[in-house]
Amino acid sequence: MKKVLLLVAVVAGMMISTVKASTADLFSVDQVSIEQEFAGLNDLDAFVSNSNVELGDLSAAEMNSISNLSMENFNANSPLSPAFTLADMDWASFAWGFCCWPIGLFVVVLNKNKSSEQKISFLIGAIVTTVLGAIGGGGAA
Amino acid sequence: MKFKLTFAILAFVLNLNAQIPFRIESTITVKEITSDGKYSLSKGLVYFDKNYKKLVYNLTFPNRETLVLTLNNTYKYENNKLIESAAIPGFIEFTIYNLALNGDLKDFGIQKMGYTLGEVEKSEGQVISTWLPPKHMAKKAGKILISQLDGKLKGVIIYDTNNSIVNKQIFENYIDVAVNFSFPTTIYAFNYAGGKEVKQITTYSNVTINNLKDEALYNYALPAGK
Repeated sequence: MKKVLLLVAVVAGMMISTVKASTADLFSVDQVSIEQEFAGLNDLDAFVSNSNVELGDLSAAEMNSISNLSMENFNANSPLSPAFTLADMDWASFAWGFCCWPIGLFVVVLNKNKSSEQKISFLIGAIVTTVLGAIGGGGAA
Repeated sequence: MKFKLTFAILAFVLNLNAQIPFRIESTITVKEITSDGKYSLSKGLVYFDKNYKKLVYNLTFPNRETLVLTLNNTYKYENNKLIESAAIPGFIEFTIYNLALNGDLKDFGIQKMGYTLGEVEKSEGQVISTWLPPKHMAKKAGKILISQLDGKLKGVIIYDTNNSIVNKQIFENYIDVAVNFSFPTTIYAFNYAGGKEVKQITTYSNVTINNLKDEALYNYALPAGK
């Protein structure tokens, strides 16, 4: 009986430690995979840093030769659309606006390829944050 | 004697002021890849003074332009000429810069957003806390996990109401810019909502605080009445 209890305790302990490890793992980043995925952008970044050019100075051929990326997939232009309802809420944009405004700024507001709906979702997220901040004690500052 | 005393007091005050971070500047690079094959790169300099509450991005790529965000408006300048402005609030209080300068980055200011603390656990050196949305937000927003490592913000994970991760941000490579002031120089962000994955890396370099030069950049001249 004692052996059974000991075995149960050991198994339970192992399960708990596994659960705890997986929680911490949520906050890990696969650096190797990320580096591989961002290799083209890293090359473009290095070139831009050294040459001080703007996007408009680069031809599609140059872009491809520098980074192996195609110019047409670069987020640079997009029409704006005024239509928006809450039913169309883009939760991705909302999340950006809710917890990471400066990053969201680049991703959503400054990104010409994002639709107006996404931009407005982002702003709603930020507004909600403001309201919650006011309720919770006058903002984060 | 009076002169010496005044000088000593002035030196003390100036020294004290130099220790308390109130403005920050840095070069910033943001790279993004989306699961539909799109990508982007933004580069430039960022300036922020928590007293002026103007967030200034001097971008050099993809286009040379200056963006100024204030509490109530957003402005875009090209060659120092105002090109666009809109009544889009800058939400300055919630920028990483304002949070860092006010010592609120450790928990991303979540306590001040109305979220309540739930479970707290320690895992692999990290202190991971679960934050629950206020009741009136419970139907729209899920829990938020915040991880701290060595007393610094390690990551934020935002869930939707179905308990699926919609956004994850990991803060790494902190540098000690000054005594009691560190800043993450690499931020990984992953967005999973909307059936599309967005991966983003933001890097900061040459992070400086309390630069008393370049006043015009921190207090960017805006159109009259703004």
